[in-house]
Amino acid sequence: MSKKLFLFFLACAAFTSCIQEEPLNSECDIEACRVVLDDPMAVFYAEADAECSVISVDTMITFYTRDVKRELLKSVAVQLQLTEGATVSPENGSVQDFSGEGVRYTVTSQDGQWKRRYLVRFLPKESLNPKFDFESVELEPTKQKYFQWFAFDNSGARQDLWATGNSGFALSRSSAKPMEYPTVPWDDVVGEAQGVSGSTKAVKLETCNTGSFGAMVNMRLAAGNLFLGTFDTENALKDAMAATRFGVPVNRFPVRFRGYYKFKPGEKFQDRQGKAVEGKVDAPDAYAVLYRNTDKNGNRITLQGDDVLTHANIVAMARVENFLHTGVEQGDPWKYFDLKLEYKEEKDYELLYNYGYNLTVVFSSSVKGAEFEGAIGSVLLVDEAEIVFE
Amino acid sequence: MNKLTRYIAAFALALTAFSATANDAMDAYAKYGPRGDRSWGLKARVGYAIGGTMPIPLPAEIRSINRFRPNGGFSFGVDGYKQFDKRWGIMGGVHFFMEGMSTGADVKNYHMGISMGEDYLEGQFTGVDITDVKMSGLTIPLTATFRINPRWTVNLGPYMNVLFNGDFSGSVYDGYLRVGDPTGEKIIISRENPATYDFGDDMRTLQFGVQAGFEWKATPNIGLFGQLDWGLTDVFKSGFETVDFPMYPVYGTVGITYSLY
Repeated sequence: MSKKLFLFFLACAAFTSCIQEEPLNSECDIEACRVVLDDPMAVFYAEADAECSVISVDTMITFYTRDVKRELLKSVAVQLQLTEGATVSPENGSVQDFSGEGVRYTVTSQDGQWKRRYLVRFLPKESLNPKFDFESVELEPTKQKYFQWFAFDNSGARQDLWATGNSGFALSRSSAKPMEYPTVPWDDVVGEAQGVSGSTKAVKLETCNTGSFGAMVNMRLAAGNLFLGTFDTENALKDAMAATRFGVPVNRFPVRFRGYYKFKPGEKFQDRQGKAVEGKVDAPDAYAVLYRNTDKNGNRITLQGDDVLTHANIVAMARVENFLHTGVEQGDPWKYFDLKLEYKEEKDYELLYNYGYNLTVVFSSSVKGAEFEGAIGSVLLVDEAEIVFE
Repeated sequence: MNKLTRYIAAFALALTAFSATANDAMDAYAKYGPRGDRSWGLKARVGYAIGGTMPIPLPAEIRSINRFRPNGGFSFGVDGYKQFDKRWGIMGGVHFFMEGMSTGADVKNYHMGISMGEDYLEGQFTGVDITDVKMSGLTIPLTATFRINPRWTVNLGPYMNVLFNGDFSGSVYDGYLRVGDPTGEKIIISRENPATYDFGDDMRTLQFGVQAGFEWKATPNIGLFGQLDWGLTDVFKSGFETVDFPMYPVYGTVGITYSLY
């Protein structure tokens, strides 16, 4: 009997202890990269611009430079930080010619099974197109599941400066069609009645239910949002406030924030746990914030969901107060807003010309959306917004 | 085994008979066998099951098991048996069982997909995976029995499990998910905000396996038993691909039998 029991326990122990050899890594990311230069300030506006961390979905890595001669970029070494064990071609840190469209790198995973192709390029920093007509919109190219917005600068080059939380919503509602996302293009536009012509698309922001997956991670709704900056899906679950990274560098001082909206609150305001809050009515949000983008030590700062309205580096702000419930149907009136940015400190032109200020413009269908509170069905339409620079 | 068996047999014989004749040995088989002149009987059993539901062998994606707690449960049932001759027989019955476990493992590139209604999220997870399994239902074994000597019987044969209730749930955290494949979007999943899963509805209702066991008769009516139920069917329905590898239930039960009739 004891022998049998012994064999039985031996068998049990075998299952729990026979751990196989560790498989090689399958990932093949460029996690970060750094331009190796003797004098980075000759090429960049700030030393911090010579380094960047790469979001997991990005395969286009852009370094924004001063308006320098392209010859300066003929022989530049870029040091890449790769997934452990991954290899890259051309060789990591080798001198390459970046004066053209850029250099294509292929990263191969440690196990040799997976490859990713990246383009690393240098572009002169261009100033933000201040007219937000929301006409340039496309389906996100790799998955074709949701919309993303872009614009063109003075020279006609494309600017990908607008971000939404749509990629986060894609994780929770994989079955959603592109037009069921929180942020979508809309064909009810500002027109002749407002003395505006040429608009064919507005933006519709709607607070949406994130379904069972959202509930699983206690993020039961997603407010429609559209903002100048980037959305970091990698951190969206871990720290939603850190996922919205607000602001793009500007080289002029904004003075006014204008645009048109329509708004209708959703029926039931709910708290983070999804419980209805009696008597509370949802409100949207729209604001422009200008802030200094480096700290005292010269490190880059990016304002996030939890400090975009409160950070000590904020220099100027304009925020739409008391949204009207205009309704969001075709015949409902557009409401115009035209706000002055209130400066709370002296303008530093030296800093400005070195792109030391970031500007963000944020629209959201629920003011508390970043905390996953709001009313499902709240809709904010926005069209023909703009920032007026000095 | 032989030595031990011989000792026990000798002990049994010493207990039951002073005159060691062949007839007395035959009487011992009768004494610990079916009652009276019958060649069949009924017995009840009560036991406790411990074990695990696991992939066999462990896939390389499982890097270490930091916690394993058998989440055992009681089992009870009734068996009918028939002796064909002195040694060989057959036994079949119905046992109610409760079995389960709780594990915590470090995984690397562990393929998982979760569907909720129409929505589906699939990818490779690297981090900590906690799994809780609970199953209850009926086991219907049909085994051949062999009496090594009057008191010892071993049995071996197939069984069928009918699951009443299956729970296979858990959570992942302290890691990240690559959506789709290892080149997909990276999503960090923290301990503070874990992702939970529940595949209970995807468990197979009918499972098959092999049962091996023994029984030692302490008295003519009371015995001790041990058995191992080794599942040969994946606990998940075919077509369920969230967990990349089949998971097999392997549970051992020890307990007491009592001759009813």
